[in-house]
Amino acid sequence: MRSLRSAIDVPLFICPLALSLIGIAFIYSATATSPESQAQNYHMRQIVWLAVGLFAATVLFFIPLKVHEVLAYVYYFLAVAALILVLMISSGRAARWFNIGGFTFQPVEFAKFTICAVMARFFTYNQLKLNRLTTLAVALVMVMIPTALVIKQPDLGSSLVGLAIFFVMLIWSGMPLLRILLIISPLVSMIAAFHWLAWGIIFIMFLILLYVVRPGIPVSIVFFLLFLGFGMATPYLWNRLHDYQRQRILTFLDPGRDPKKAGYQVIQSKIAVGSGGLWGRGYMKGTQTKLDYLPAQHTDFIYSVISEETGFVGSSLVLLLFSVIVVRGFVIAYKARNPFNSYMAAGLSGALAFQGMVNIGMTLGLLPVTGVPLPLVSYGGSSMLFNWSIIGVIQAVGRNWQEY
Amino acid sequence: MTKEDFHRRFNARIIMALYFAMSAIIVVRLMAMQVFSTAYYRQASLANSARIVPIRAPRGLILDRNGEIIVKNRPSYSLYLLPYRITDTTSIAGKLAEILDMDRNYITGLVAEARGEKYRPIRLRRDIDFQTLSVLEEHSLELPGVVFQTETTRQYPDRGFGSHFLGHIGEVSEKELEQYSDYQKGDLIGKKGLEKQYDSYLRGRDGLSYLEVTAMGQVLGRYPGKEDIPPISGGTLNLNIDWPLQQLADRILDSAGQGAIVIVDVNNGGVLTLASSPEFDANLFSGFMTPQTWSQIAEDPRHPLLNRAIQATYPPGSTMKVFTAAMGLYFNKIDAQSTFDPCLGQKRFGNRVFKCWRPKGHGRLTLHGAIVQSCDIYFYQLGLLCGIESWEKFMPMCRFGVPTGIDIPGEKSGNSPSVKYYDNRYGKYGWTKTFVINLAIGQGELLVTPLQMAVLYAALANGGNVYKPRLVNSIVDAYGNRTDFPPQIVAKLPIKDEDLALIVNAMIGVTEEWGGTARIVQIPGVSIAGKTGTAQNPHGNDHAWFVCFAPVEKPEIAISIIVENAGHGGSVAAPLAKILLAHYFRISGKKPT
Repeated sequence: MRSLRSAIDVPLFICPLALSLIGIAFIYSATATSPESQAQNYHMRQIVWLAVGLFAATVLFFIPLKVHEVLAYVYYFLAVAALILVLMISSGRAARWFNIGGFTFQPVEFAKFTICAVMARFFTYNQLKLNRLTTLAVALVMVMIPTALVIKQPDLGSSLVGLAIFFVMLIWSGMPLLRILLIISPLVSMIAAFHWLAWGIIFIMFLILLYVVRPGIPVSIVFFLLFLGFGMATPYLWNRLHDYQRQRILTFLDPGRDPKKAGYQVIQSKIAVGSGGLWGRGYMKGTQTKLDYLPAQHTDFIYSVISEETGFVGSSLVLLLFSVIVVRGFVIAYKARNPFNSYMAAGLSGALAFQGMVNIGMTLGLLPVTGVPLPLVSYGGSSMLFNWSIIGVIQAVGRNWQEY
Repeated sequence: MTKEDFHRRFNARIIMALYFAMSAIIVVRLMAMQVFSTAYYRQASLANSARIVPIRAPRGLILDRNGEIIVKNRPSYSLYLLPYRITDTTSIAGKLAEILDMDRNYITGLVAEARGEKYRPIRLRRDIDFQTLSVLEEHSLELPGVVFQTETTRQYPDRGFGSHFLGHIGEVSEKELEQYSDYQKGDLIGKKGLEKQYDSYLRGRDGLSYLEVTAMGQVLGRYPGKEDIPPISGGTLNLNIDWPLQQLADRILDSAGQGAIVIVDVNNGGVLTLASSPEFDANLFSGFMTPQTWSQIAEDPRHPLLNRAIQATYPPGSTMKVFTAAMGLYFNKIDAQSTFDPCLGQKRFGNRVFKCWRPKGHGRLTLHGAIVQSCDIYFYQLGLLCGIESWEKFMPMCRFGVPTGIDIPGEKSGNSPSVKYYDNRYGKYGWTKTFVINLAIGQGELLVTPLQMAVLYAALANGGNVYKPRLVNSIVDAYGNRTDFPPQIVAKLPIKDEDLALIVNAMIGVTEEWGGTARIVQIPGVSIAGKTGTAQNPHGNDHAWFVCFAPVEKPEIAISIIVENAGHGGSVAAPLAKILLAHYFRISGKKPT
């Protein structure tokens, strides 16, 4: 027993558990008043999923990481197959889940885990070739295949998680920061291209960056062309976006432009958060939640429910618990001597951190509304299962930190 | 430490720094929203979830001078639709449209509009009558989502008595919403008459009830922690109207035809009666009015909506002669003994022949006789003698062509022609000074309202004080505070006392002397001073006028009567005055002296 306690990272177990329990309590609060959602018994289901998640975490805790390293490409193949399958079996509707015997399974949650494993392996095996553009291009292609499938679902928010993992690992590889900036410069060009002046400024900064980094003539030319190409692709991609995706981005920039429809969610969420005040309106007493003004209260906007009913104190506590998980994850990743293990833990922690920030930022009106759940807290079986799996794998990395 | 290790450590810190920077932004944002802007978001949350429902203040009553209730409120049923209980909109709309005689597309439209807030009741119709109510009750099983709610409706007198000055209320229109800031859609507002003029007093202040509602509009109950604000009832209007007298006037006027009767208190301008016939039923306006009913009223050739007492203008006919006489005396053109060319039934002025109403003629008359017998020839000559210049100076001083200022909207000012008026109308050389001949006997372009004549005769009675006529005597608000509307003298007639005595004496002769045109109006013990008139009407039969005041010794009331297209004033209008005077002096307990 003693060996177990020293083997597991206690904060990294207590904090996820606390977040899950808080999640269940507020899923109950969010669904208690409406008879329709009460009948669904979301909180009971979430308890079951928590149990499943804990079981999965325990199993993964004892599985040697070498197994994931070996099976990384198998996972990857399975995940891509599942994503293709889910697109195929659902024509017309949003293709996000399988229905297996009354339970829904979202392949995207599995895909996040998979991208971590495959990227960790790729970065480990190509550590010395990371300076080459071709290596990075291959890695990027591997990320983009499942990402493209997720975008197709369409799930813009989750699709970004793969890219986030890629960049976390890029940073984790120890690549000099300016070089990373150069790599992401085409993306920046794409975003800046919404306004010609912003793009112009970014372009000048890009030229300075090229001068400082001096990656050599061929690489410079490639990035120069990429920078221009991505900048010009923006208008084209903008037109390719789904109408509701475009609405979400426009609404994020100005929620008041359509308060009845697209802006409604952000406005209501902000009202819920703000009206919580310092101490909150009390458990089960938030009117935004209780009276159904808040959209998707038990899933994407669960943080708004917590904020309304427990105020600044509760919101901060949840953020703190979440931050402990992220910090412990990266500390474990940093301590791990085996590069694959280290990449794995860093990528998974990065995935958690990214999703948490995107979700909370969305509820506060800081980021556009994307369907990214708050890990461990939002209602969702697949999400619960795989987030606990992530905790299990990170714990496994921590247990085996000495191994090479 | 290798260069590689250095970068690894540095980059790990970069990642942590990025995470903490984002967390810091979130904490700052949380603080800004939850600690520093709580009030703003609480208000927004309240605005979301609290529906503020007005508690209607009971509208003020309208009482007559003796405290008798003229206008009150009665309970009524309004029909509401509950969209969330309606499953088959088309079938329900079809059935309702049939029972209520409405457009079914209008009903389906209302339900479709409410889809967002399906728990919010939609008012379909106010004041459902009992017959419709029972039909709906019978079919209640086939009409899920159709409910009734008790509300109050204004109840106006039967037969439309007093409808013109009482006015009516109705739902506030888009235009009125723009005009007055303190009304909301669905509120009731005074549309006409006293209801409009004194709306701010009568409406009271609606209370507020805070209800907790869901995003779908379902009411959960009272909002926790929010007290209702009770309504304040509207003020009570105490009128100068003598309701039994008003009803009598309405009744006899209806039997006589179209026209108006105005009775004012000569000593303070209080309006005892303001009758206009035909009336309309104001109750039709306070409930639901079908387009058919509306067009029936609006397109009635008798114009029942017109308040003839203040909105119709007529030539005053011979009732004007007392003022023509006063003008002559004022400019010293005549005295009591003055005579003109004798009346032979007609007289030529220039190349036109003017007739007297009596073809046999009256012979040579002094002023007294000319008024008593209403001799046209005398007044033609008097008018010509004074001229239009004197007329345009004198008549405005007597308030001809000036609105009386009665406390209901829509009053007409009438018209007292002047040189300028004729110049505008006919061109500088298109008319002659002989036009004043017609004015002298109250014809031509001279126009007055029945109310104006009543007010001016009241002034003759009280020694020359022209009062502003007032329907409302006082208002008592919900707390018992009384606001009085004291008598107001707006002008003094430019008539010397001895001239006035001369004229009044002649007016007594009208009812008492042999040859007087209104000898029919005699009540034992009450001396009456009056003047008949027969206003020529280019569109049909003559209008019959009679204006009088009584008792002469200590005047109390002045009566102005016009019956349209009825012929001679002496034979049609004067008998009505007799009925009213008899009623008034019996009721007031005056013993014949």
